[in-house]
Amino acid sequence: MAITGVLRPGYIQIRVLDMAEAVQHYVGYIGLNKVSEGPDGRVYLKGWDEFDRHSVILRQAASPGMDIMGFKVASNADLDSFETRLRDYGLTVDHIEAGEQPGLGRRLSFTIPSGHRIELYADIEMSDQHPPVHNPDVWPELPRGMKATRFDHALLYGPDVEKVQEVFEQCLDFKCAERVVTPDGVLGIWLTCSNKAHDLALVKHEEPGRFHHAAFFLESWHDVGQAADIMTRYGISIDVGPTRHGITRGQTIYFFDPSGNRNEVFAGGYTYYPDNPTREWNETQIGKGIFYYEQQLNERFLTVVT
Amino acid sequence: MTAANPSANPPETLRYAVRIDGNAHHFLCAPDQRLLVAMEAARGSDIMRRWMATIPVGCRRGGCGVCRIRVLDGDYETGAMSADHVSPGERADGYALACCVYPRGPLTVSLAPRHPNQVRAMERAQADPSQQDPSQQERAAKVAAEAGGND
Repeated sequence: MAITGVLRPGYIQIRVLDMAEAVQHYVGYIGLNKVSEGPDGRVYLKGWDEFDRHSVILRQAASPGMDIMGFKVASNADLDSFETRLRDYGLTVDHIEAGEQPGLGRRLSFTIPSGHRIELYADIEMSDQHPPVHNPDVWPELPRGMKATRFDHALLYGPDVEKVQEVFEQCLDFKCAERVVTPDGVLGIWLTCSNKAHDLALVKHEEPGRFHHAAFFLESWHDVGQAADIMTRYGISIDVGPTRHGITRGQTIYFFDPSGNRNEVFAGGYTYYPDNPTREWNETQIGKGIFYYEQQLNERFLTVVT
Repeated sequence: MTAANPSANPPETLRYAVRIDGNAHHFLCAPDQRLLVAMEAARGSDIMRRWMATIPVGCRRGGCGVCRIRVLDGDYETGAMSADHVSPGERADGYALACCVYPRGPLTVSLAPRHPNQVRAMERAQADPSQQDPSQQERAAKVAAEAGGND
């Protein structure tokens, strides 16, 4: 089956307390490229292996967290069809005109039951710094820092995780690749719209709209190790790792940006196909599911969010 | 090394004593060092094990709010921290996130958690004596009572 409809996570807008420190972190250390700075002060970034104009937007604010996460869809006809399905489900869908972000077309914007703002769009300019397409070298310019190739996925914390799964499955054709079910109900879901083990994850949390992490993809386990070296050398706040997830099988390290937003760089993870069954974990093995080597959850991972 | 990461190896001569209210002992923090990170370093060197009531560690960068404290005595400066957890008025009253406090002299601080999960964690610790030694139980009780007063 070809990937149709929703193609992938396209962008994430993150609030930061100090723009200069944030740019040093995301550009200098994680290795994203700076694309532009808008008249309202927002800074636009992208991974070196991404074709689209930008994938990370930084906005200076009094408190950190995530403003929006946007998904790219295959066509404008898909946008119209998704709008109908979201409205039929009962969600309010707002229109954002083209140009609110530079190079980005019209968007649909809606709030999911966990309290997060999600957007869909079909059109975005191709980056001036896109990966080469004629007799292509392996990269256009020597990658920098942790050498992140792309913005990959986000994990969001909020209530009504089962309803969120319903919205993404019924309205947007996502699949649930893995989930954690405890006697108290569904604790977490790992959703995919593609061949990746996850494009968006949610964990149950009392407060709505909380941001757990934005993840950036690295090419290898060795790159995860070098990212850890960079973090300690330059005084970046490390959360946990390097380690591995049982869920998705990704090799990972978690850390914090200078405003306390959690980041992940990771490699690996299995290939998902839409006819695969949902993998399921229960409360007896959840430690291994989240941290495969430590085999136990830590409170910080479960409670520290922005 | 010190230029890029001054908190890693602060000079011995430029450190101030920081006491967490209720403890008989203190740890040392340099003027350019985050109070919370100095506490972690002291814990890492083992001098704090067993007897020190500790501040919960989260993002270490002013975002998550789990290390919320109140400075009871002493001079300090603060870095940028989330207004969700410390409002300007609270900042004027001595509330701060420990990860954003830089001492300008000896300090005495108390825990002031408001993060709901952190308050619950304190209550859990209080309810489960097997998890805590007696001094920590007293601390947990005090913190839970104070957290209730802040809401």
